[in-house]
Amino acid sequence: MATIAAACVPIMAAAAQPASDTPAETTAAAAEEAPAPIAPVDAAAPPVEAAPVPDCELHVFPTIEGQAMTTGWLSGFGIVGAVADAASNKNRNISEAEYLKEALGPQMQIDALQSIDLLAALKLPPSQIIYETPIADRKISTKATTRLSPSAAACYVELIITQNFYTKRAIYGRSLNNRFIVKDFRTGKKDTAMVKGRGGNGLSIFPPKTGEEEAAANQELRDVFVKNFLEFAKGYAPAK
Amino acid sequence: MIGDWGAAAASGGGVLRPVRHRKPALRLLIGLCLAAVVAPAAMAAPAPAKPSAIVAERDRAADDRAVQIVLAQKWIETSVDVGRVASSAGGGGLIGAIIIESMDDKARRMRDAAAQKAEATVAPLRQVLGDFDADALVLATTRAALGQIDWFRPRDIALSKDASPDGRRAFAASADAPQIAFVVYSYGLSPDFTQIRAVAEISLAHQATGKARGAAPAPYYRQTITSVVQLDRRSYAPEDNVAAWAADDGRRARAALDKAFGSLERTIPYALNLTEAELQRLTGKDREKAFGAGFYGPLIARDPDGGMLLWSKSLVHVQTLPPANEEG
Repeated sequence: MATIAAACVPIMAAAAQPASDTPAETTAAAAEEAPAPIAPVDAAAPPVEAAPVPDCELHVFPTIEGQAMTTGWLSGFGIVGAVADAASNKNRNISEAEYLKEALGPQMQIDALQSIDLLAALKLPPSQIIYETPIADRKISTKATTRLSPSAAACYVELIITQNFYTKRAIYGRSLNNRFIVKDFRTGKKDTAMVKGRGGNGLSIFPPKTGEEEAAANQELRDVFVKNFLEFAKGYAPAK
Repeated sequence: MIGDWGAAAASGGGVLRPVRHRKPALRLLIGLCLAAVVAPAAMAAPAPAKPSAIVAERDRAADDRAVQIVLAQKWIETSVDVGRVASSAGGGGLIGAIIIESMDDKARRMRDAAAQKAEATVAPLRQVLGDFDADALVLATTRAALGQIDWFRPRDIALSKDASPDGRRAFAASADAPQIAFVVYSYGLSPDFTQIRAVAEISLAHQATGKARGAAPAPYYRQTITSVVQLDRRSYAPEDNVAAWAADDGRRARAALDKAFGSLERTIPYALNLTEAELQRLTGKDREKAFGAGFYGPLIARDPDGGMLLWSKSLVHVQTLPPANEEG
């Protein structure tokens, strides 16, 4: 685990960025671009007006979930094979689930989503992107049809990540599956329809076999997570 | 016996013959199975009535109540949530799945590991809260809360560290009052360390009389009240949140604990005074729902400072610490 922690150092630094829903911590869509180097203010230069904060809001709820399931060839050989397979993979499933929770925790999901144009992917207008505290209770995250933040903005959308699931199967190999929910309140209703979907793609490095592979494995996790999100977003149609 | 002869008689046949029971062994087997299922339930002692979430008018009329406050913990507690754990049942059919599930202890092992990690993470906060007098706080909270209820008439408020049923039984046996009230407190951090939660579980019971005296009191009322105070600036990293609570000799944690127990002081009388009609109105399906600090349910009231009281299986009050530059 020490090596995992080492791999997470930049993540911890990024985690200093607050995750609360206070306005001071919101991020304008424009601010998602790569930060420009800070230059000294030139007194002669004309004052630059701050870009207006968009009226629309996208609230993003990452997940704390991390599930892992490895099944081998034995699982196809009746009761005895399945029981033997489950017993032989138990420790691996525990360690890989714990690794996944660390390597693709809430901050990593946010980092991954910040690497793409989230608003364009969801076909949303310029919006403030607000990263929220994860919701542990799945009955709330997957069933509550009302807003999950105190915001009363008329142009308001929620993106909820509800699953991080690593599987390794004898035939299909390794893959990461994610589930997403989008709740679009731009129709003005208090209760809204939940658009649920998933994305799943193969992994080739994760889980790492050696310490040297950790950085590449973690990067692969993030890349596949983004791929999964884009797969979901491709099929998502915004409310009319 | 009519049944045995009935079919032949109804058919109008000339010779009456007894109708043979088909598959008597199967019927016997079904009968035995039913008996095996029903008999234990029928023989078991009747389950005690489920405590109500409101105090009925007739129960409020007692002369006075002996009150025991229970605070069993020594320091601020942690909690863990490992979420869903993938099932290992990948084959072997139904029987295989039952066997695999019965030997699957992944969730427990993951919870144990998470609990161990949480205990290590909270250490800096526990250190700075070493002088925090939770006993005095719960005593003051209970006295102030119960003192606001006209009909409650608390007597002999005692603080105990023993949360066991034996402890309750002993208190009830020694109390000289027609009713007994237990207020069990706990306080701790949410699994992500962004919240401090204080919980009060209130139960009321009638004093047992005659031969039943000395038995465990069966409560007629039980209600849990949760008071949550969350950090204004929350991090996804638990250790950052602990650092925020612990900074300046635990200034934020102390403020949150004061706020949380202060809220309980107001909410306990509210909960005990609720009537059946009010409870139905508050928990109605058509009532506006709200979400706060991981809780979701019908909204009861919003505070001017952004806090809210909601019903999420029980009363939950959610508050947020003001930003550092707005603290008084």
